[in-house]
Amino acid sequence: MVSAFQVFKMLFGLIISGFVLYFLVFYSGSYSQTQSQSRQVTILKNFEDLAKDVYYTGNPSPFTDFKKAGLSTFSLEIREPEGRAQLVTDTGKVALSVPLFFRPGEELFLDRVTMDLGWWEFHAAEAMPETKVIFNPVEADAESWAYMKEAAGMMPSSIGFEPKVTFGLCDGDVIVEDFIGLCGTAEGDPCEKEYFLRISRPEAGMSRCTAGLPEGHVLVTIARDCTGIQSGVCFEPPVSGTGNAHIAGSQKTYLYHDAMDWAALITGGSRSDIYGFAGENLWRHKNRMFGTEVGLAAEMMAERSRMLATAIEDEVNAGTLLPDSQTADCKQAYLDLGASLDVIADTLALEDYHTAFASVRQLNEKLSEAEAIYSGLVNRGCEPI
Amino acid sequence: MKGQMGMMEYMIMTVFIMVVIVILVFFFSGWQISQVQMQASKTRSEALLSGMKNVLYSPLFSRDDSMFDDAKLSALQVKCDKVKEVLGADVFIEVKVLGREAEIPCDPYRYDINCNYWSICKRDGTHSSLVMPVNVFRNMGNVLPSGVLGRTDLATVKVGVYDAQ
Repeated sequence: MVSAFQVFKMLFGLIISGFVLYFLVFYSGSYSQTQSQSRQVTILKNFEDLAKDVYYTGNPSPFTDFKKAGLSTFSLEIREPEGRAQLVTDTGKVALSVPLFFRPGEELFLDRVTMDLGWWEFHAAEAMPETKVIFNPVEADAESWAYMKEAAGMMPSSIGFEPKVTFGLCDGDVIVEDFIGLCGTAEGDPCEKEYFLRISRPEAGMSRCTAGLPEGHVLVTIARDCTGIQSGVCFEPPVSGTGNAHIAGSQKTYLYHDAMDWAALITGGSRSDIYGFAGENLWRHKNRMFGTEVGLAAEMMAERSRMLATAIEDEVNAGTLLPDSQTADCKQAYLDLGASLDVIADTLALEDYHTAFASVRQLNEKLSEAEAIYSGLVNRGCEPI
Repeated sequence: MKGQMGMMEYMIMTVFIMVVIVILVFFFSGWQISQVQMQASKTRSEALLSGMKNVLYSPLFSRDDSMFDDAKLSALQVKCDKVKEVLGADVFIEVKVLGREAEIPCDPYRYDINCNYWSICKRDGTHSSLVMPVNVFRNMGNVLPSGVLGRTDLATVKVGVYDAQ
């Protein structure tokens, strides 16, 4: 006969065991999920920190932590209306404070590319997994060949690092990635940036690329007519430094005004997700960062130029500097530079300067003008290098 | 009687277990709170270091790494809103040339070789900061009748982050 006490003991044991079991399962489950998410967020933050280091110092570096966390897919979201960009993963978001062009992958190589404006250098960090950039310069004339080299020059240089970013050409259904005589490397060696930039232009034009491109390849077509591109991105040669770019699958046309625009579009390519085309997002990100950073730099340098021009004038008026000295000649050049930079700053302050042909054209003209004036200042010894 | 005593023993044990669980919950909560506080402190230190690194490397302030340009610093004193967009909303920068007791603030619109203090985005408020020695290039350091030569002064840069309000 089971006594009331024994029944109580059984029930009590069941209740306590159930409670302890529930407590353990619930907490261990949520703890492991929190830890996993926290690890992914930490890795994402580490990636952003490394991108900033590469951006500021120019020292290239591989990044393999995404592999440890099983993170291989992430996107770029542009927050409107301020246009700030952020990296988005399943577990978190990290705001980007520097220009960063990336392709998702578990193992990435980060490098910095630079566009020299003379009076200013605009940098961007690039993060790429193992990637083969395949160019298809259809006309293969000197102009498109030069643009192709300029675009390749804005891609990462992975010599001595893993993963590799390599280059090749596509002619019809043939893809040539690693061949003796073209890149000057041994057969089977990857054709990296430095080698690719030395290749010679073929005499004949090339056929449109019809080859099936495996995963990890990006097709970059350079043609006078980009209608009906099936893969990657296509650039029409520029007029006065400005031209149209197209992304396969997108109906839009993207204005480019410098080689950094090419780099953004090529790196993003025609991949798309809920945030839109990656190429388009990186292009918007680049132009937004360019507008903010170069806009401020232009404002600051314009003030600096005027300040130095006034100081030179004051010294001449005070008789401490001879009016016919070389430094006294710098005054007008500084004033010209200031005027030119004012227009650049005003243009970049426009909300969507990069989508209007007139403003992009004016920007290019003034950037060239400012570069020439600044170069003159350096050559005349007004501006110490 | 024996059964009742047994039940009482179990009741006391239950109370004891509940007390242990409550203590454990308090302990873990406290530990979690201290972790969050430590993380906040670490985040602040990282923000300071990052801000200092950005200032030292950014061509906005310098002509070479850690070599500030005096005319750039002067011009940036009135561009605080834009500087915040690049460096962050709560950052401030102070540069002071060493070797002189009196602090002579630099005019943002007029070049002055005798000034020795620049401040960008500085306001009242509690903050944390880091100080580093740097060089400041004085564009018109030595004015000769035949031309102008630059000069390098030793200075300190203070980069700070204001506490969130």
